[in-house]
Amino acid sequence: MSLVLKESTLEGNLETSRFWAYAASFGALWGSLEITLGAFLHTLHVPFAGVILASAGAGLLVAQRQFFNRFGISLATGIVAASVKSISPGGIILGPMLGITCEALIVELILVIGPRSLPAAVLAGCTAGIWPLAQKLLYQVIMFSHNVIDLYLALLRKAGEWLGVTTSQGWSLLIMLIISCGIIGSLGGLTGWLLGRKAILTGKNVSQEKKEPVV
Amino acid sequence: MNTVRTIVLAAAAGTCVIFQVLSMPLLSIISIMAWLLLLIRLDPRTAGRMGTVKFWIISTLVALASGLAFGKPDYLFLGINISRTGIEAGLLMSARAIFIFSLFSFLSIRIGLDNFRKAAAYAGLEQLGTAAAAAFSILPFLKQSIEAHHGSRKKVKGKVKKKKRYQLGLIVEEMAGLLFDTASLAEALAGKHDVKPKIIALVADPGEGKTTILEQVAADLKIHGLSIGGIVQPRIESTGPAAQGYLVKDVSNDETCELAKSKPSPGILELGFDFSEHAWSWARKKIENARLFCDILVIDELGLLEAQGGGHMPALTVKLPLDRARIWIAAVRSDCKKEIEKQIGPFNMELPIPPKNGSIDFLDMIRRTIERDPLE
Repeated sequence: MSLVLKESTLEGNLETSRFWAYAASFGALWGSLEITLGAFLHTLHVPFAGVILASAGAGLLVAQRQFFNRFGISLATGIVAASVKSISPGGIILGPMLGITCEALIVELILVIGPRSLPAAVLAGCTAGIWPLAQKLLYQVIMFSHNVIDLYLALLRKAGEWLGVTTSQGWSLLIMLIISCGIIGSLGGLTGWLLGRKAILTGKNVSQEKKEPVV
Repeated sequence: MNTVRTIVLAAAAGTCVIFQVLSMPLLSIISIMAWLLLLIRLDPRTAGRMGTVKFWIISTLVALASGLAFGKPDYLFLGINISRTGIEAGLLMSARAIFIFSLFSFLSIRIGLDNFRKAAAYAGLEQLGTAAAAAFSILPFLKQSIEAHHGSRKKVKGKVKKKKRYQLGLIVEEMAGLLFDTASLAEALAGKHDVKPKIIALVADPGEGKTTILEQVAADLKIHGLSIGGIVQPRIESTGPAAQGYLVKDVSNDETCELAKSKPSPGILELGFDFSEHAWSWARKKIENARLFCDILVIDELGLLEAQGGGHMPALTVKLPLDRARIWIAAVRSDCKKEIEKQIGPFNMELPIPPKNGSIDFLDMIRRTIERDPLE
């Protein structure tokens, strides 16, 4: 009885340390990607830079799940990546840090339905891709108060009058924008799924799901 | 920051909040300006981070646009009819944004690893703080991994120059490799792969052909699809019987660096060569990279220097987060064997130098050893 207890404790410890080790290594990769690729895209003023980064992050989390599938690993990885982002030089990093954490939370919640399945990966990527738009709006509301939404709507109405664009056309444009972000995100999720599987199949499967014998 | 400064800044921040809550635009703007001046004077680092042009443009536009969008136009500004109440609302919104932006800026400076760990510990998540610290410590290894994969891609690129359609395939390989390395790092961090590598040693006296055989072995194993890294030390030939010097050569890509030049008149107690510090550190990096990212490490000429803990020995004994190279093939001078074993561990297999026509059998022996003890 005591041996069984000891073995299960050891196993638990190993799994816990693997959990945090995966969060640390993939968090480091995501954080460094945010710093390097993020700086590059923002410096060049590439459109959809935030969406591209979110999609890459979601892809990374999806790929991580192919190696190590535990509930909560995506969120933990996101928090570690956000902490790595703190070494980013200059600028206000609080917003991007919160953004990374929220993206990780979204992916975590969606991967509950199928941690290693392709549809869940694509859906997670899609939602994470749309998130930067929502985050931008949320950030504006926090900064300027909820009145900023009334202001934007009023300005859009005025712009629509000047340009002769109807409200339904305006909504269509907005939906197209959201769909574009979703597609970019979905591609990220899909790529992450494919790369994760390829990494396992072509490399050596370091994260064997079978239980290791306890020594 | 001392207590007085903190109290002054907190009082100024509190004043800003009060005027914001009471919706008093003029006093809000005055208090925000006072707050900014205090920030520049007392906390220049925070003020420095607020120099984001985009934010200031958006804030100004919000203030002006509110005059257009809200209320009835009752004021002419630059030939445009705008509303006073709208402008006031806009100014209030911008003042609020500037204040929150400065708070974000204040926090952005103070979020560092130490504070993150403290916050995690405070929330009862010590392991999260430890994971963040581990993430910081493995950043250099991730950089090495990216460089190693990119290096291999450049090399392969040269071979398939005419077939550009394979370019995407190479990028995919590179990214999959990076993901695999990241997972391997995680396993190493978790202590799962803390297994000593198997050492196959070629023990012989100087001049018996260890380097030539190691080069043959590396080339042969590469053909069989194993990733080989590490170094060999071929002689720089001279007209006389003694070597003019030694090169150090990366077996993965045949890059070379001059390691030693013979001294014109060596003393009794010194070695007969001048060694290049740059070449030692170059070789060290190559050996460490091979340990991290290759299946097999090839290491040549473990001799007098290594027996004393110098030469290539530090690269072999340094603790790395991951030792993926599970087989080390080392050329060892026979008179230094015991000392070398003390430092890197006992040899799992010791092979003599084969007779001149027996090199193929010898390669087969190594191959069989590796097949018997697969790299998984």
